[in-house]
Amino acid sequence: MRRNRKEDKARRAGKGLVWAVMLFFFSAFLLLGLRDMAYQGFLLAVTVPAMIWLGSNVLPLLFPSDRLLLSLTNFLCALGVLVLYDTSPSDAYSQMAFYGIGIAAMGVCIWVVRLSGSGRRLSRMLIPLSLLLLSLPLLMGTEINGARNWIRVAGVSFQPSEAVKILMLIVLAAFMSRRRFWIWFPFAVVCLGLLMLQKDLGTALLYYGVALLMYFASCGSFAVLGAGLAGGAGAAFLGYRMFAHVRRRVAVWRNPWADYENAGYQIAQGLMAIASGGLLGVGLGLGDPTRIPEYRNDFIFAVICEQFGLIFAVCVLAMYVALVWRGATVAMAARRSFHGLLAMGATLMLGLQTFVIIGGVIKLIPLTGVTLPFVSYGGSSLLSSMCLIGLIQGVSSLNEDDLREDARLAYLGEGAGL
Amino acid sequence: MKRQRIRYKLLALLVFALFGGLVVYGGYTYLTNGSRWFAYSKNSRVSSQKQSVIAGDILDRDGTVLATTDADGARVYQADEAARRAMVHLLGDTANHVANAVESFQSSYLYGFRATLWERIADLRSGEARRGDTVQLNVSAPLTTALSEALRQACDPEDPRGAAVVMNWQTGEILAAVSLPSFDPNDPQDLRGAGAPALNRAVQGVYSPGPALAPVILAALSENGESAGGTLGDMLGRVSAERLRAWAERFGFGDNFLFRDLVVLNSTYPAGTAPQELSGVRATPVHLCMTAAAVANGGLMMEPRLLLRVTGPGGAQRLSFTAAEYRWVMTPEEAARVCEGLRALTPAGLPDGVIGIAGPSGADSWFLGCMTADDMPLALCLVAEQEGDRDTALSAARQIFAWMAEREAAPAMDIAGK
Amino acid sequence: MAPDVYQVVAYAMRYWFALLGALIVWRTFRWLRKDRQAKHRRLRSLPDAGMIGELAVLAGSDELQSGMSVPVPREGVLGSARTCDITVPVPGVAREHIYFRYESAGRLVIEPGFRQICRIDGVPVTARSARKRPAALAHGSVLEVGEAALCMRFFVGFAGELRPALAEDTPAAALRYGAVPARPDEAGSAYGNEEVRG
Repeated sequence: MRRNRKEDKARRAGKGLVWAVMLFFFSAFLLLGLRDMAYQGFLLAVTVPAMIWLGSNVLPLLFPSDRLLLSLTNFLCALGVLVLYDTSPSDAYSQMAFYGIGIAAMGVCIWVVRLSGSGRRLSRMLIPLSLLLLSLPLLMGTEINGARNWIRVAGVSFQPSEAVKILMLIVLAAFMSRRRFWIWFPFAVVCLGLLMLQKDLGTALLYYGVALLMYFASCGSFAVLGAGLAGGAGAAFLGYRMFAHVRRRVAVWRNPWADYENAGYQIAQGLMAIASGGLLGVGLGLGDPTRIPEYRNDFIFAVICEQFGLIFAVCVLAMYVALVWRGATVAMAARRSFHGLLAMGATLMLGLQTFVIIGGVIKLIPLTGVTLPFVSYGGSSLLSSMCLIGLIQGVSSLNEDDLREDARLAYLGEGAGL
Repeated sequence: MKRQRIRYKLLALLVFALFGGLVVYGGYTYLTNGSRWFAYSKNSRVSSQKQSVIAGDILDRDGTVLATTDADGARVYQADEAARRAMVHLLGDTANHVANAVESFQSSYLYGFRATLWERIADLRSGEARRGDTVQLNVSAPLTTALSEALRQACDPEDPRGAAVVMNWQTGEILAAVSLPSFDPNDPQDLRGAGAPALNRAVQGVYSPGPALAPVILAALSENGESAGGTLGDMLGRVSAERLRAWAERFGFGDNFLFRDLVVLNSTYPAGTAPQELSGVRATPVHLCMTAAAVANGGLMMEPRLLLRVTGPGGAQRLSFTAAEYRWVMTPEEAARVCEGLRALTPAGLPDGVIGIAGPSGADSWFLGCMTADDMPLALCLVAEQEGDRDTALSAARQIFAWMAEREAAPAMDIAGK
Repeated sequence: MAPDVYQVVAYAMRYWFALLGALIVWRTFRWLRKDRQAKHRRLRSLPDAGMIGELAVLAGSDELQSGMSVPVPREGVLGSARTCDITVPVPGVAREHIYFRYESAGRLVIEPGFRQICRIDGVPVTARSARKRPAALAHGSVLEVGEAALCMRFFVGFAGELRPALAEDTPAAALRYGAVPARPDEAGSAYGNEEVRG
């Protein structure tokens, strides 16, 4: 088989990206190290680029993966570590540990996708598992920030809804591809109901949106899409009427300055940070990012805007656009509709989650309590994002296998002198 | 699968459109509101910068120092107490009692946030404390003091309340803006007095305009070529509610004012207001001054501007005033007709070339008018609260026009020279 | 490092980071584009990529004449609409008539759409019967939908276990298709030898 010259060029483009990313983080951590004059900064200036290099060049040798998605993931995770080191260094180290676990989780997801075939048996197992996981917080959960969706197991708290995100995606993709409406639809309704019972309305809205768009992708009726959107809007309106904290959130979204001391404090601080950053930022290590509530997870985008400026923030957004683009490409190249739906669902989940949180930070839509994938601090968030990327990579690797198999068969056919 | 591929592409485009919306909205909201978010008084970045940067001077259009920082780091205002009390609402004080005054609203200039990299390097090498930029305003200190005095004489001596604004109707520069009651920035004891002394009624006080709506009413009448005869009350009988409302909106009622130099509350003209019952209309004195200015300027409403020039500590020019158009309200012919109508309503005792109207609105006494001579393009709006007849505001107006005539070189002249 | 010195250094570095950010974005999209070009190139050299076999037309219409064959992808929709994966523009075929799916070697699972009907080797298959007992096309099975009759032929590698020594075509065709049934004659049964159905 001839090696395609275009493939070589693609590989070189990949190398250029990895070196640019390594240079970025080397200079950033070096600067932070100079700020503190502590050895940790300089150590990270070497470690993080090394991990990026390893992650982009060695990981593809260990399991079949999509190099571009890997590089994007590495960039975003390292950005999270950088911003965390800037504001609270201990969190940066735990985020790096979670990244390691995340890589393993990603590998597991790739393996699961490759071995699941048509997904029938797997999805049948996952239905009771997800329902169990989602009901756990209701039975033994602790309430944080008004939403009751965390549980503590052996001293570690995690959000089952983040795990169910993955499982639900697999179940939906499997049964939608087989048009088994009356299996996945009740399941989705129960899941959403459980989420709303836990008062995790933002996540529920996100899952609803992704499920609706997946259904549209599989069955294609614009009427269903319109009805679903109307239904979602109606449910949101109902939520506004029924829940006081939804009303508070909408009021604060409209005018955060009116209630600056309490409810509006977070958005107001975020907006002040963004305005102080301007186009180029106040400078890495300067400014006052820790004043923003939830600066480590929900509002980490505002910290990026303050430190690096709006131009860089748009670049980060472009990286998410590239991620969605690549995910859609992988979905379009899939041979089975189960794989296509799975990849598209994971892509939509990541893309919509990013839109929702950035929209909340710049006050386009009310805040909803979701996190920025890969960048936000938090084990559950990082792990679920890595699992989603793992699903996409699994499908991508299967596409590669299929293409190689086709090429091999065509070669055989040619050799036989057709 | 083919149709699904098409739908995957559609969904990806949907996500791209959402992200595009994020960028567009973010850019727009940053450009229009960014400086306001930054200037919010509780922005910790500004207060921490105050520790290390010597605040820049604030000058009036003739170069008189309105505020400066002395060797001990204390803020020093004008020596004369009457001048200080007249200027305090525009200028603000060190404790930010006045909302969005120059001291806080222009803090990005005053505390050196706009310094270029070279200037910062030069400051570092010289080792001296950094200084902020010098902000030169369009206002004229003597005019402000005289206007404040005239307003005080028109108001109740026990409890003076009112506001007055003088603008240049050709360029939109604000030459004076005063508000009563006032306080002394050096000795803010009177802040606890009645009547909210820290409120800048010129920009943040909303009143029922009454006779000050004359430009709008005359414009509505003159549209059909009707003669503007009789009193204002007669005219209100001849104009329809919809036409009056339409003209109010053309004059800026209902707009969301986002001026670059100052924060002005929006003026409202409620739907369904009958011409005979205009008490629900609300406007600020600045906006009403703008309406008179538009009439005198041939139908072109200019944006109100406060900053004449901003120079860096090393002499670099950061900003230089250029007149900005706000909106074409009407054609020059219509404006000429409105001027004629206003001339007919002008009370006696005012100098030649002055057109205007004086009268009560509820309990307040109003004057709104302008000098039509091209070499003295000044518009004046004055309101004295709770002095419910026409003469109090009118006598104040006479006083200030006489003062301006005495100073032969009118303050509006010679922008280029200073 | 002294705080005011650090301030100036960090202030200067802003340009560097913005530049690198833009460079990273540019490189990412260039990689995306190169990958797309590489993939197009590969697909162009593999015209049968993704296809697992062919449906040979035994009886069709003017547009789809007997003797022609349509390639069969791994999964998709069969119908008369142009957007279907297998287009059968024959009267009697609905816009979206059949969902098909390649499962294991030599089995193309058939699921008619809602209220659609088709016949596999003469046996009628409806949506409900397909739910109860999955129906599949084997190598050489004949699918009748509407007025069309189509014979399934899997490509090499997808046909699975086959009875050998039935090929009457050229060795090359045998290599491409695996064993194919005898061409049905006009009068008699259109279903070929009993032995073909594996």
